[in-house]
Amino acid sequence: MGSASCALPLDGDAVFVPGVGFRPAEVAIARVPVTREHAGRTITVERAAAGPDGTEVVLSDTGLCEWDNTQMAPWANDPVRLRDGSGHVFGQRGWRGGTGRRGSKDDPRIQTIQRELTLEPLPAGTRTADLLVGDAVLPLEFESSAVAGVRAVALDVTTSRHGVAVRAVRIARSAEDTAIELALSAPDDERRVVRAIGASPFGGPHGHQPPVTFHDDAGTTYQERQVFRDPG
Amino acid sequence: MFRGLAPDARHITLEVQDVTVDEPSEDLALAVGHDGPFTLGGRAAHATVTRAVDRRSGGNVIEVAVTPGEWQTDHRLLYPGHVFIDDRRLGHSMSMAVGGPVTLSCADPTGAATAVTVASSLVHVRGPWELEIPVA
Repeated sequence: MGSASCALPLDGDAVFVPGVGFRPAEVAIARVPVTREHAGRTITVERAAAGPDGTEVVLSDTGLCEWDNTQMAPWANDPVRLRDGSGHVFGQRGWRGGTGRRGSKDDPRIQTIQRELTLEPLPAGTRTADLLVGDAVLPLEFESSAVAGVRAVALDVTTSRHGVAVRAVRIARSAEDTAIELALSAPDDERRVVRAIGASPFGGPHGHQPPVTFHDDAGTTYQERQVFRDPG
Repeated sequence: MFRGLAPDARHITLEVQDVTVDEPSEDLALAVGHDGPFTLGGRAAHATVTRAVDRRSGGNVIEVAVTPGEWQTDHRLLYPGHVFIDDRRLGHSMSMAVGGPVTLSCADPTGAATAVTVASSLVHVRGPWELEIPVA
């Protein structure tokens, strides 16, 4: 089944955490961003979520490097680990979003490596840990997602058109925000993969209108103001 | 994510206007100098294939500037999902600007390639998909 957003298999309570997405309620969320200068690079933890199945980390790593179309910057594969207060080190367990890079408009020698990865799970209740990126140390403080997020309610509403199924999976409501998780798939043709809502996986340039809107029973229209793409 | 829902809302109707689907296609060779329509996976678009020098690396590249095709029953080809010269495992870069074509660029280390191969189709599919969602 092709899928743009594999709905996370969340058993039990789930929350929506702004900047992170929908996660199990027991997941702890790091206060971010955390930035350190190291060896001429700027390393920033943009997201870290510690759960029983692993710790998700998103970081950016910017430095000077001659651009080469055939290979990444040399620091792109620096080992990433977590070290808890007891000194125990937790290694990388897998890849979620992989590694990407982007160049600077101002200086072609400056490039940013964006890494999404999963580390071995921290012990339940861990509140502080160091993220080790090569030799760099970035201290993380975690808080309960119940504090950082909004409780979610499960949905199961699906519609299909042109062989593409759109399913509403969860909704989370606060006074300020409404978050809805959508999962897209092409259930009848495994060779087709739904890449994105909207006109391009990269957000443009062919879009013509907000790709997702809703209206309530009073007729008020709501337009999306932020999109999280969560590979699940 | 949207702004907060009215407290007394009991039901919403959500609309997804359009999606982008990656569909398999045959491989198609486009010669350097090609400037015209091409068909991939049964859908047409327009491509201009030129040699260029990569702004960052200074290396030789071949660029394929693609303008989306016309709508055909709620589908149109946006651009190929993959561009390569000899080795389909090598990646390509992409640039885009609102109102302009999508430009796919792949390295041409020898500077002697006479064609590129494009494969798979990013297809824009028009809805809408409507979901009736209880929110009480």
